[in-house]
Amino acid sequence: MTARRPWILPAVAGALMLVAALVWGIPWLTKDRPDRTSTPTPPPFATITPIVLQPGEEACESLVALSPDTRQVTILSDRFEGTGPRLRVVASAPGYRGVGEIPAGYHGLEGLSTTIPAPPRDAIGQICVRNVGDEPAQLQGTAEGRIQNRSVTTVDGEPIEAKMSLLLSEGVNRSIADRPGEILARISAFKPPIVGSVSLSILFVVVLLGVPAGVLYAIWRGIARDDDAA
Amino acid sequence: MPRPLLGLLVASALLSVAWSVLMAPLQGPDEHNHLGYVQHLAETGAGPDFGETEGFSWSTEQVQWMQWQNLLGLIGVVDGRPGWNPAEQEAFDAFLADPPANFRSDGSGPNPVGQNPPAYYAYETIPYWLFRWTELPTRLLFMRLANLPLFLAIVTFAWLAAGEVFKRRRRPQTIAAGSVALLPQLAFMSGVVNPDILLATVWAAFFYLALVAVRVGPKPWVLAALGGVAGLSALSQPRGIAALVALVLVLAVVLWRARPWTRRMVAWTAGAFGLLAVGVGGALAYSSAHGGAASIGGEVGSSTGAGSIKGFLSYLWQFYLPPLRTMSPQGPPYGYRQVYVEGLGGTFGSLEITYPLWVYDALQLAAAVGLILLVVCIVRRWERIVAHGGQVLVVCVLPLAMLAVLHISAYRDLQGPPYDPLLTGRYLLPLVVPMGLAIAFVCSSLGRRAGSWLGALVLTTFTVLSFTGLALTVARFYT
Repeated sequence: MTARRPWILPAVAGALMLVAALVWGIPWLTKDRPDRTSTPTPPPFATITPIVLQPGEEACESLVALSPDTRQVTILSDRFEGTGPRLRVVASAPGYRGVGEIPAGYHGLEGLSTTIPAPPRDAIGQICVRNVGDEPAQLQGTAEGRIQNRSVTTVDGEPIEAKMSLLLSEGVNRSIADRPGEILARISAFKPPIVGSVSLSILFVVVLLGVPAGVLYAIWRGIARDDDAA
Repeated sequence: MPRPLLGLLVASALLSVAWSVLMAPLQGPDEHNHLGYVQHLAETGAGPDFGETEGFSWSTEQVQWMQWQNLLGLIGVVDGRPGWNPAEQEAFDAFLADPPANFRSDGSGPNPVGQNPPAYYAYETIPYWLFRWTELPTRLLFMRLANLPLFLAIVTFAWLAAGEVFKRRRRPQTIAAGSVALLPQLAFMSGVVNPDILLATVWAAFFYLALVAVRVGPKPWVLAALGGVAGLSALSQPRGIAALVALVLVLAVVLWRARPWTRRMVAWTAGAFGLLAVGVGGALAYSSAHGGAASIGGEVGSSTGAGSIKGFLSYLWQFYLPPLRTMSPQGPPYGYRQVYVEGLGGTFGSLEITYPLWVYDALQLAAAVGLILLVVCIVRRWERIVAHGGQVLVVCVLPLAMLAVLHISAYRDLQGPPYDPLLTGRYLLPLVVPMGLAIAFVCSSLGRRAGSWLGALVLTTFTVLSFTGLALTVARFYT
């Protein structure tokens, strides 16, 4: 069959690839995902190092990348009994100060998110968390060697060994299909000017078409056709 | 060029470029250390040192880049993202505008890969130097792209090796080379800076040359080529020392078939071993000079953590099979599934990017069915197997040589802190050619129609898995 009608095999293989793209590719592209804008200090990999803030104390993390997309700051509570106190989050950079509140009543090992006004421009700034409640606050930090970054965490101005886990996001979940330009811009960051949105778009199209084309051509000429002789 | 091979080379080249561009910088296995090695070698003419030294692990330039793009804290941490904020780029540019002296050459070590032999790193200094006028992120991109010729060479050697085994029949050649070209783990490793891709290339060449040697006999040029490639294997990666065993076994097969021996034959055989000795000696000397106790020679000669034969056999059994009641555990529950299925099937980044579990389950099932079919085909075609005994021996002994080295090394790792069997799927990449040959053998044994459909299914599945791996990588780093 394949020898007499050599197009059948590559046609079926191509159809299978298409089905895979439809069944897995499209849902993957359109699935909503949390949109991180920056991860100054990701959550600990294995071991939490607690950062305890007494009432009135403030932990600050330096050299945090803030962008106009940043709407939400997330810190993490450490394991504790009962509920945690109110926290005030202040993001700042030259010409910008955004304040958010985390209400009291949260529990241990929770993500604590607050909304802040978007910074007007991309900047390197800092994020501070002040305990404005009456009880000690216990936040997640990490001193793991593998979580190495440029930021320094201070408590009331004194540097500490641990770094406060801190994630920034847009605060809304969006799919990759919703923001292809943004994804391309992120891929091209720190790369040479030749790797920009246009060239990456071209690369994506060439790879998406060229790889299946090459494989189907090989299947057609190498497997399906009756040309075993070299 | 044969047209099916052309199609496969186009597909594999595009996949390799895609991996080079999409994988976030320094997120390949130990890529930050490999880059540090290349940079120090390129800038100073000497590789970095392993172990306790007075210097820094990486150059100031690399440290600044890793800090401003958040690359070190990103390694293996799924919640981390690389820096993409223009303010971070500006901060890095500000550093580059007024850098300190020796900011590119002060990464003299301790570098965790400083004991590695230098062949791959020397190769990577070429793109490094060609683009020395650019920023380090650009140099890394071109260093990754420099792996492309190596990847294409692997595919070509797989094609040629299949030509030797299957009498240049296009169908099995296409299936064998396609299984190699589209293997997601191999394409991924061709997109990051890591000496494993050179080792895989060298072993692909070795397989082909060994099969040629079986066909043509111990001709001087083939013996010299085998010895040279085996020497290069030792210079590529510490695991490449397995070429020592491989060369002995291959030459034993080739020379046994070429009896009676002539003086010229013996001289050329000695020459082959001489080339191997140059490679092994060079690797040992380099490693000793830069690696201290962790050098290749130091590890081989170490008496600590040697274990026992009984313990090794127990480890080996438990690696591939469920433990017997009388066996004590040998390290963590880590074996065939983790290395052959998950590792070789596809685990990307620094092992944190994985397919959904059901994909590995399906791959394991497919591998099991494939192995059963392989055994059935071997039994059914036993007479032909025996008739091609030399080829079969070569195809079998080379993987055994590499696996023996890997397992002995992993077992020794289990005998001392941190009791971690250092054996991952990418360590099997030197064995992709016999893997492709086995798939092609099964397909060609099933008859034209069934074999064609099965071969096409394998290539299609690998293509889909390749795209899936790239998609998972985009989601991991850029959302």
